Amino acid sequence: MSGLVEIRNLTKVYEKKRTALDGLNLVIPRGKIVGLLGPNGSGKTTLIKILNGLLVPTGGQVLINGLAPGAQTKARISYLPERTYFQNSMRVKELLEYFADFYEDFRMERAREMLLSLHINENDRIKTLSKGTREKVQLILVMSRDADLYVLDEPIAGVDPAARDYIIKTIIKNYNEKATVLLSTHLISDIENILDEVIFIREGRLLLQTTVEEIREVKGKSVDSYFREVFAC
Amino acid sequence: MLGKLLKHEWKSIWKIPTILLGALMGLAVLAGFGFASPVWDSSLDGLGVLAVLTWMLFYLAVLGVSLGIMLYLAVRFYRSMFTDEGYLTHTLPATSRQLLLSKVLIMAAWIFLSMVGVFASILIVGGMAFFFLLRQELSWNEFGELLSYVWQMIHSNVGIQFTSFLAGIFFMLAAGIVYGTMIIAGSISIGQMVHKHKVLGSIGAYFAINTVVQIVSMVIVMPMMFYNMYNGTENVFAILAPTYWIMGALECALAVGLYFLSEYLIRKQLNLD
Repeated sequence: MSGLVEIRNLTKVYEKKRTALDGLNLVIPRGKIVGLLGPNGSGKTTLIKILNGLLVPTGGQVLINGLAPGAQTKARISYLPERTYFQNSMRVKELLEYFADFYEDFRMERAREMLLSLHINENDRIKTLSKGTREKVQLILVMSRDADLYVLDEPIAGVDPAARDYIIKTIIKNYNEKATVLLSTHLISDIENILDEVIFIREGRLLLQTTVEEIREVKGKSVDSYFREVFAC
Repeated sequence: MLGKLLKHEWKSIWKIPTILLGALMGLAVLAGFGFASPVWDSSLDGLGVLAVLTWMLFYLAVLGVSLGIMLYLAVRFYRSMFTDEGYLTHTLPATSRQLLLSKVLIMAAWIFLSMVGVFASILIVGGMAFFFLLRQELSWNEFGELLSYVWQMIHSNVGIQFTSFLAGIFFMLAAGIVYGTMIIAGSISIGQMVHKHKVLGSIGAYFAINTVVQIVSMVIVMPMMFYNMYNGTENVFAILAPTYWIMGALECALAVGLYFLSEYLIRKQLNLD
């Protein structure tokens, strides 16, 4: 069976000829939790933006479910960016309606349950919520979709360990099991227990794509240790 | 999808312009009631100056509200398309064309509504001023007759040219709505190409486009006006009407160009920070 995401010879060159992706070839399988790992500036966020149709590649091809990024693929990808993207004057319940209107796969009940469990009032305006609560609301909206692909960019960066646990638990509990979760992070030790596969990229090129099991059994190391060894300065 | 986008775009924008237009209407009524003051029936010196000052203050309020609405629309467009909010906007299951269309259609609707609001507020002040100042001297019937007389006089003197002049004005107003919308969307879309200074880039693009338009319209319109004037066309409406049509057409053409340029930039050159 072909992968959910197929990336062929993908290149992205920004202005001043800075190459972010350099002929990247990759197949991301269905039904797996995949860690997208690499040091700062390795091209992770550029790749994620291209998958979400937020950037146009300079060359190469990306296919998601056999389609180039566009309106149809966006309907099947649930994306959590590094930053919060709300209009501050909106209320939480307006965001729920917004997601329900635009995404057919949005599950309102699931979102409401999660909000309730965190004691977040639907009538609260976004601007009255703390930064951490806003991030949780965004995670709840993203994970309340039955998407084919969840793309989570640094979901646990900058939060305390308790919030980190909540986020990981939410991802595990709510993702559609037939779907793929692509998770980019620097905090490998926190998430390696939930990963099926890892992708290491450096300077926009694929360095390694393998299963977590293989790293543990063949290399005899944790993903975190192996990452440190591969990317040692 | 376009319907959903329009609905949510309207919901995210309607409050501030409604408040501003509501305030303008309130101010118009207040200014109108100002003319009910007994001071206008007195023989105090400087009443004329007071009346001019009242109108000038009202004019400033009109200007403030119009500019406020335009600025708010520009800020909302910029924020929803090219700042953090853009991460949600551009990952909706919609095409770039649907996204841009929904934004510019709602913007155009609000520019139209603000024009209507400004016109209505002027009517309110003018109507109330007339009612309070002239009610003792002129009945409604007499006022109607006066208006009809003025209309007939203009029409019999300048004939068809006045109708054409009015049509020209309406066309230019309609073109102004389309152009006003697209210069905002176009300037901001061009400005986001200046990655580190997107706002500055947008302002620069706005002034650059406006300057080009001014120069082009002068090059087209001035020779025509001089030609009409030196060829014995004494009727001012006959001189002005064609210039309004030409200006309107120029604005429409430019708006179409800016629309396609914006769509291209959003589809192919989008780069959110």
